Amino acid sequence: MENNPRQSLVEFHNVSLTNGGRTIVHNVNFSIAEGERIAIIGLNGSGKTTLLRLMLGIIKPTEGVIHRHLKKMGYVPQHFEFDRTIPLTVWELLKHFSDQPKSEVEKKLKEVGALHLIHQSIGGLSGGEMQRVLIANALLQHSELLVLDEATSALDVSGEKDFYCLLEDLRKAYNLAVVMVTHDLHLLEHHADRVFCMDQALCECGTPTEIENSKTFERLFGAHILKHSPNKNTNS
Amino acid sequence: MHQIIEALQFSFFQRALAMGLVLAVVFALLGNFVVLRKESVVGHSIANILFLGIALGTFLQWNISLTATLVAMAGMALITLLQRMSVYSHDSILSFVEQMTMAGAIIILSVTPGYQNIEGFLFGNILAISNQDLWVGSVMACVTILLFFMFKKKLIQMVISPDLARSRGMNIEAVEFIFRFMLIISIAFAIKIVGVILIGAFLVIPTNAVKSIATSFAHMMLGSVLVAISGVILGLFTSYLLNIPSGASIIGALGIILMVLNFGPRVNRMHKKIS
Repeated sequence: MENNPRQSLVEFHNVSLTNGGRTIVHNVNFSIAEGERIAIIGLNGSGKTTLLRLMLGIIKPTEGVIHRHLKKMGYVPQHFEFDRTIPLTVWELLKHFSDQPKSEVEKKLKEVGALHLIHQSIGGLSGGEMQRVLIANALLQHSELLVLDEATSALDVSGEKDFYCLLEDLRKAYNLAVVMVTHDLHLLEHHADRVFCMDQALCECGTPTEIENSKTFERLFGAHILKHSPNKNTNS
Repeated sequence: MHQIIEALQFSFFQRALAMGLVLAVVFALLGNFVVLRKESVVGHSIANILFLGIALGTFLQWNISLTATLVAMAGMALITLLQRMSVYSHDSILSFVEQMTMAGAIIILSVTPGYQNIEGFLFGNILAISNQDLWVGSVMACVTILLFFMFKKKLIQMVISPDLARSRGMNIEAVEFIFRFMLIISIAFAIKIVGVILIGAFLVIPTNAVKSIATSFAHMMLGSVLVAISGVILGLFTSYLLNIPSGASIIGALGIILMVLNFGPRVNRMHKKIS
């Protein structure tokens, strides 16, 4: 575990999760400080999403302890699965998930560029629009930590760039800590302070540069993946 | 017309109508969440388990409503336990629990001395509502409506995304328990008027009648209540006029309203295109 001068929001102490005899997460230790940007990378099935679900309290660890020193966490899942035939507007969704007045809901939707969606049915929103609404929801709850699970997987290159810009603006404005599971390895340098490399256990933890030069990264993703990435030099 | 006025003068009909209207509001509100949770068969399962409780209460000469409610709570706990064991699929569990409880209820009633008429319980009987039923049913309906509005926000969060709700610290299991409890006590008091066989439809038709045409959640809730009330009024008068089981006539009326609301505009559009 690293020593952070800033206040710790979430701490994992020897956290493991097994299901049906299969180890999904093994003996993970880390802490996340306020305002920090964490990227979680790893191959499919390496336990990244499970780690997020443990962090959010959706599932409980079979071993170890998770300390949360914060009141609210915002969550933007990879696939927000719901019955698309629900006649529920964006305003109704945000009203029921937060106790904020309409003026505040409008303000937050405006900040995430989704004010025009306020009276639309949530069933008709695209993946990108739904993400913005969920981020507005996190802001309305005064979340100190925003947890994103492969948030850009459904976005094109332009949408991805806009999304990261928005995230950075909001992070600075609200002093949000951001934890995101991502496969955008080429963007780690610009959008993460620390990178957690998962392979059931937390097998590597460090700055983006440290991780990119590590043997674990090479073993998991190959040595040339970043060098050959067309977006490597894109400062999005 | 004079037959309608005549019906309203009978105290049994007044009781059935009052009970039906109270239940219409409760069932429509709860039905919204049953439908959105894709648990349309749950209402039918609860009714069958309650039927076993009714049979047991009749056989043992215990308080029928209390016995039925306790048996239903135990039955739902059993369903939850079987679901968590992850050995059987969700629909299989509901199917065999409801068939086994129905079989058990018929066996118990068939050996209960002097008890022969189970048709009323199966299809509903407007003559069966007593003053005590009406008062107790109204109190329970008020409790259910109160609980519903206390937990409405949490129920909506649970329906939209259990994961998002859990990430906000909501105890989903507790909210689910309260929701199931509301369903059980509502169905327990509706069985006499709608019947075990048809109660599931009473729960899901009002919501489905308006779901596709509602523009917001509030519209859907209000619309489903209006549909349920209309179905009860139409159904009960039809039951009296044609001397048919009240449950069947209420569900028939609700079915017609669903078709008119959902297929009426489409037929109208098709007719305009053709002409």
